[in-house]
Amino acid sequence: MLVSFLRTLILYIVVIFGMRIMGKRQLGQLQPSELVITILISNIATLPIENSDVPLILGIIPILTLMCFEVILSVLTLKSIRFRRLIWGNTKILIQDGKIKQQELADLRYSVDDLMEQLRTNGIFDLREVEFALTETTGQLSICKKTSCETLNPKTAGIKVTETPPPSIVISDRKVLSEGMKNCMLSQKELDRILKKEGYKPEEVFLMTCTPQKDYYIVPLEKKH
Amino acid sequence: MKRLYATIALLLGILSLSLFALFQCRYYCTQTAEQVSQIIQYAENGRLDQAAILAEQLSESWSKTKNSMVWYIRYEPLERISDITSHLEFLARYNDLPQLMAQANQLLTCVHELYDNELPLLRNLV
Repeated sequence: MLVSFLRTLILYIVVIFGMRIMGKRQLGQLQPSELVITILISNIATLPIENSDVPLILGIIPILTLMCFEVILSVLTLKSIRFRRLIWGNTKILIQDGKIKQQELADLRYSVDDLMEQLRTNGIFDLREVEFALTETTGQLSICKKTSCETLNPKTAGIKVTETPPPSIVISDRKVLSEGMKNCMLSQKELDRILKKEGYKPEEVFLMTCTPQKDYYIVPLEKKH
Repeated sequence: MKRLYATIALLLGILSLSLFALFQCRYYCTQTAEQVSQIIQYAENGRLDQAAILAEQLSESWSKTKNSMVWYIRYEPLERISDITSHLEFLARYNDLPQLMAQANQLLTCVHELYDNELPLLRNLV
């Protein structure tokens, strides 16, 4: 049992390490090759865990090899459009200028129900609101609404607004983040002044966000009862 | 690009390790096969006492070899060879020539198969 436990731990570390090598792409929407790799790795990793007769290295080497080839494939698809299209395919337009392209739907084996489901998932219940809809290489449907059906925003209403960058995390779970301070151009003196004004010490703050305009928000640490 | 270089380095490392394991397997299998062939020769010439001594040495050297090979070879074929090598000494010592010859030849086959299964041949890939 101890052997099984240790093998599981080792393989877990190897898989995590491999996921890091493959990079953040794996954590988002999966391309077909990435989905294949993820499924393969999960199956390969279970073999040495379930069967102690299989040497650990016969599980580790296939996992690392698959990960390496995935990285090489990603780089090749980055450098070559042709190769990218070969491996990942093309986006397909399903709705153009408000009209459904029925032949494309048939080619993709996309039924009307599938299309309507995807539209509803994107918050669209009336097909007449859609100007363009295309399927990405991941299979997800991306939609562009007709301008007349777009949600009212300051631009369409002709209202001038100043652009505000998103806030950066300055304190995370009592730790002051220098990266966050740099992003919102907040010096240590300014931070101390803000905290003093609000009556907190850094170790009493669970979360603090701030914008370059010094618009800050503090969530204090909950006191344990 | 750093990730790409690290990946290529890792792949080269894996390939090198695989080749090293293959050469190591070949060396150990050749060594073991020679010892087994020698035992068979002694047995054929009626020198069962010599065969017994050599079988004992084979058993000891095989347990060391197994400790190295267990890193990259499945346990089952290694256990099969360990099983047979443990019998040889006693078969020779108690003058059971037919069994000794049968087991020795079986051992020789197992050792050759062990190496053949590690080669990247088409029959091993399919």
